Amino acid sequence: MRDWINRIVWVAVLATPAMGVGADPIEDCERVALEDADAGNDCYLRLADGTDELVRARALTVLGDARLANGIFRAINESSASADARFFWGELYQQIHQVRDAERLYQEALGLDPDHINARLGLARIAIDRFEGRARQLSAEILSLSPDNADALLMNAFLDIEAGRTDAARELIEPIADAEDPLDRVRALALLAAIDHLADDLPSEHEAAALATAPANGQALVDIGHFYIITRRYEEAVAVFEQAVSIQPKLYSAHAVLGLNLLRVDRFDDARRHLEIAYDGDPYNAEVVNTLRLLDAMEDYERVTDGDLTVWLHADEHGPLKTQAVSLARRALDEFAERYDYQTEGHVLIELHPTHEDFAVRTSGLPGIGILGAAFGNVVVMDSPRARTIEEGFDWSSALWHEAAHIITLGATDNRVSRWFSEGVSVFEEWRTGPTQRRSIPVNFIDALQNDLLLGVARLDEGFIRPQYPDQIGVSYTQAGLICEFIEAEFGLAGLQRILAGYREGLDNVRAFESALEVTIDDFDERFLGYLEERFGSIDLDAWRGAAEAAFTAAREGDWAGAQVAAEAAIANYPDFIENGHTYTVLAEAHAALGDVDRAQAVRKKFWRKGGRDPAPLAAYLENASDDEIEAVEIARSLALVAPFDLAARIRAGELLAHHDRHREAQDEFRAALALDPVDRASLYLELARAEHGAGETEGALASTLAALEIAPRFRPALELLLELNQ
Amino acid sequence: MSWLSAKTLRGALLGALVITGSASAATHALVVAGFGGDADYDQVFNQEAQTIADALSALGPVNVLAAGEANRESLAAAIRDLAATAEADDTAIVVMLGHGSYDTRHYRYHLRGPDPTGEDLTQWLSSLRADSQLVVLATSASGAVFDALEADNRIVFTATKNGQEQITTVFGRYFAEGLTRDEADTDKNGAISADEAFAYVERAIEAHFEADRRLASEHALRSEAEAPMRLARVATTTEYDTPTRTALEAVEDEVVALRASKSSMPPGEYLEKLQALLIEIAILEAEAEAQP
Repeated sequence: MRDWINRIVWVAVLATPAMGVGADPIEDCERVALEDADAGNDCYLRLADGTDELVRARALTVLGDARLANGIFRAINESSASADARFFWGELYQQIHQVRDAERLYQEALGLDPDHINARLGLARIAIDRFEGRARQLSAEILSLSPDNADALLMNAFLDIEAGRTDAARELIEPIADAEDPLDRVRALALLAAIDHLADDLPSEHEAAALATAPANGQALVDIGHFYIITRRYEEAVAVFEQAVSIQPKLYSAHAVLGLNLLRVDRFDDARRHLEIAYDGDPYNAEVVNTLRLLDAMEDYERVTDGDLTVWLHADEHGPLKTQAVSLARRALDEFAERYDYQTEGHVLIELHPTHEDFAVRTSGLPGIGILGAAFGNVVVMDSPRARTIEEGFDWSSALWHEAAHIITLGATDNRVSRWFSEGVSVFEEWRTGPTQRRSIPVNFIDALQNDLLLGVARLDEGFIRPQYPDQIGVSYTQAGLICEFIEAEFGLAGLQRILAGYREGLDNVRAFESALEVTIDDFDERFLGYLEERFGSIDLDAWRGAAEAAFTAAREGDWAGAQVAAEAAIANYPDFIENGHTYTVLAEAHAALGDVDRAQAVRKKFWRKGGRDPAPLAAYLENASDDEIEAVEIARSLALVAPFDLAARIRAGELLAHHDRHREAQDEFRAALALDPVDRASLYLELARAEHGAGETEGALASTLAALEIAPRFRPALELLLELNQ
Repeated sequence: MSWLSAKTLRGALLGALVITGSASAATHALVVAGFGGDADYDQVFNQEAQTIADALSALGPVNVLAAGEANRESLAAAIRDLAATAEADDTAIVVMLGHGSYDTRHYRYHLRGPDPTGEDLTQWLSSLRADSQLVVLATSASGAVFDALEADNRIVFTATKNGQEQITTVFGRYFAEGLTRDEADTDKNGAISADEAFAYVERAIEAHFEADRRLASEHALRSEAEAPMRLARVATTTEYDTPTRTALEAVEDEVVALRASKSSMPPGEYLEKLQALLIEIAILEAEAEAQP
C-alpha cells in the first residue's frame, strides 16, 4: 500500500471539514488506517470498486494508481464544473510531486468557488513547502475567513512554531488537541509534541498520546522530524524518522526525508538504503532520483583524511585541491576552537562538488538552489572552485571558512543557535580571520539600509527563512555579519561567546542576546543602526553608479584621464565595493596607460588588501612586480588559492615561493600544477626537484629529477641537477 | 615581420638557422591560408599561416599561399611544386588553414573562387614522393576527409572529428601558438615535433572551451602512428662532434628501450638503471658543453 495514505491523512480532512465524523468515506478509511494499515488499505480497495466516481478516484489516488485515478478525474472534470473535483484532482498531482499542476487546479477550484477553503489551504501548503514569504499571509487570510477551521488553525500554528512563537502556536492548537475526530486530534498532538521536542521537554506526553491515537501511522513523528530539520538538529531528526518508518514501513515520503538527512550525518550506506526504499515505493520523487544518481556519481570521489577531518573531492579535482582544502579546513577549525573555546566532537566531513547542480542535489535533492555551501552539523557540503569560479564571484576558500564556522556555532550550541547568528558569525569570521579576509559590502545592503528595509535582531531569522523581497537573504547575510562585527567592536569577542553560551543553555534568540550583552534588543537595534549610518551613510549609490559607468565608458573610448578621475570618484564614494563591476581595475589600467606604473601597482595592491580577488588585477600586479617583493608572493598565493585550476597561477605561486626560500609551500604548488596534467611535465618536475632540494629533501629531489628526465632525457638543467645530487 | 602575401619565403629563409638531422634529408613545407570571407578572418588566417611558416622556416624551405590569393589552381600548383622538390627521403609538410564545409557528400576547402573538394586534395597530395609526410587540415568539417587523406607514409591532423562539426575552429590558432612555445617541447630536445604540437593543441583547445564554460564544438583527430617530424626549433642546440653525438644517441636509445620495459621491472631496479643511463648522458653533455 502506498504511503500516500499518510499524506492524505493530512489532506483528506481538508475535504469536508463541515461534514463531521463519518460523513466522508475516504476519511472513514483514514481513521481505520490510523490504527491498522492493512485494514485501511482494504477499506480503500472497497471504495475503489464502488460506484461513486469521485470517491473511486480519491481512493485510487491513495492506493497509488495515479494513472487510473487521473483518467477518472479527467472524465469527471470534463463533464462537470465542480470545485471539489478540481481540488481533489489537484491533490493527486500534489501526491505525484507535480506541484505546478496541483497549483493550477487549486486555482481553477477557486475560480469556480472563491470560498473554497480547501483550495486555499492547498495553495498555502505549496507556499509553505516552497518556503515562500507569502505563506504566512495566505494562512492568516484563510484563518480570518474561517476562524474555526481546524486545518487553518493548525497551519498557522505550524508557521508559528517555525518562527519560534511557540506560545502563540499552543493557543491555536490546544482546543483541537481534544477534538472528537481522531484525524484532527492526532495532528494537533503531533504539533504539540514537536514543541515539546524543540524545548527538550521529553518524554513528550503529547507524542505518546498521538502514537496511542494512531499506532499504525508515522506521520506524527514526521511532523516532529520536520522541525528538527529546520532547526538543523539532524541527528535528532534522523532518530525520529527512523522511528516513523519502523512504525509504518511503507511511509515512503518518510524514507525519502530520512535518506536525505542520513547524508547530512555522514551515514551514506544507510542513506542509500532508505532512498532506494523510497524510490521503490514512489518513483515520482525527483529529490530521491536525483540524490541516488548523485550517490552513484560520488563513487568517483576520493577522500583525504587528516585525523578527525575528511575532505571528499572529485577524482579530477583531488590532485590540485586536496592540500589547500585540508590545510584550510584544519586552520579554520583550529582558529575557531581558540576563538570560541569549542573543540569539534566527532568526525568532520567536507565535500566539494565539481558542479553546482550536484551540490544543490546533495543539499536539497533538487537542482537550482541559490546557495553555494551548507553545513549540517559536522558535515559541510559546498561548490568546488570548478562548480563556480572566482570570475563568477565565488571564492571557494572563503566559503569553506564560512562553513567551517558553522560547524563551530552549531556544535557549540547543540544546533540551537539561531539561523541569523550562525550566519553572522560565519560572515564575520570570513572578514576577520578568513583566507582572503574579504570584506565585501554589496550594493543590495546599502540599498536596503537607505530604504529602511533592514530587520531588527528579533526578526532577522525571517530574512533567511521566509524572505519578503528578492535580495533579502543576501542583505540578511551582510547585516548579520555586520552585527557580529559591531558586537565585537562594542563588547569584545567575549560578547559573541556569551551569546553562543546563551543558545547552548536553551535561551531563545532574544533572551540569548539580551542576557549576553545586557542591553535590550530595541536599544541594540538603535545603536547598530547608528553604527551603520556612521560607516555607510555617506555612500551615494546614484553618484557611485554614475561615476563607475563614466569610468568604464571613458576606458572603452581610450580616455584614460577621464577614466582615472571617474574611477577615483567611484572608489572614494564606495571603497568597500570589490565585487564584479568594481572600478579598481579600470583605475589601475588608467594609471598604467598614463605611464604611472607605480600608482597602477598601488591601486592593485589596495584592491587586494581590501579582499579583492578578481584575478585580472592580481595577475597584472604580478606581471609588473619584482620577484623580490614580499607582497608579490602573497598576492600570487591568493591568486593560486582562489583559482586553483589555473595552471599559470599555481606555477607562478610556486616560483615566487621558491624564490623566497619557502620551499615546502612551493612544492605544494608544483605538485598541484602537476596534478592539473600540464603539457610540459618535465619542467614542472624540475621545479619540484629544485624546491625539494632547497628544502634539503635529497631523496625527493632525486625522484623528481628522474621523473623529469624520464620524460626528457636530454633536458640539460635537469641533467645538471642530477649530477649535483649525485655528487 | 610584415606579411608578404602570395610570396614564397623560400629565398628569404635560406639564410636562416637551419639544422637538419642529416646532410641529405630536408623538410619542405607548404602553408595555405584559406579564404576568410571577411577582412577579419583573412587577417586571422594570414597571421596563423605566417607564424607557422616562420617556425617551419628554421627547418627548410616554406611556400606560403595567403588568404587573399590562394585559389584552386594556385593550391594545385603549389602541391605539384612540393611533389617535385621534396625527394623520397625528405619530409613534406602541408598545412591548410581556414574554413571548410561538408554537405554529407563532399568536403570543400574554402578558397577564392571554386573550392577544391576533399577528392581534389586527396588526388593532388597523392603525387607527393616524400617518405615522411604530414598534412594538417585546420578547418571546420575537416574530419570528413580524414580517412581519405591518410596513407602509409602520411600523418594527418584534422581540426574536427567529422564533417558535422562546422563551426569555425580554433585548431589553427593553437597549432600556430604551439610552434612558438617552449612548453610544447615536452622532451626538451630543442625542437617541437608534430606529436608534441598535436598534444599541445589538444590541451589548449580543451582549456579554451573550459575557460568559456562551453561544450567543445570541435574535436581534433590525428593518425595513430608516431609523428616525430620536427616542425619548429625552440632553442639553439649544441653542436656535437660525431663521436659525442653518436654516444648520446646510443644512450638515449637505451633510455627509450628501458622506458618501454618499465612495467615488467621492479620499480627499484628500473630507477637504478634509469639513473645510471641519465648520469651517462649528463656527463657526456657536460663534457660537450665544456669543449671550446
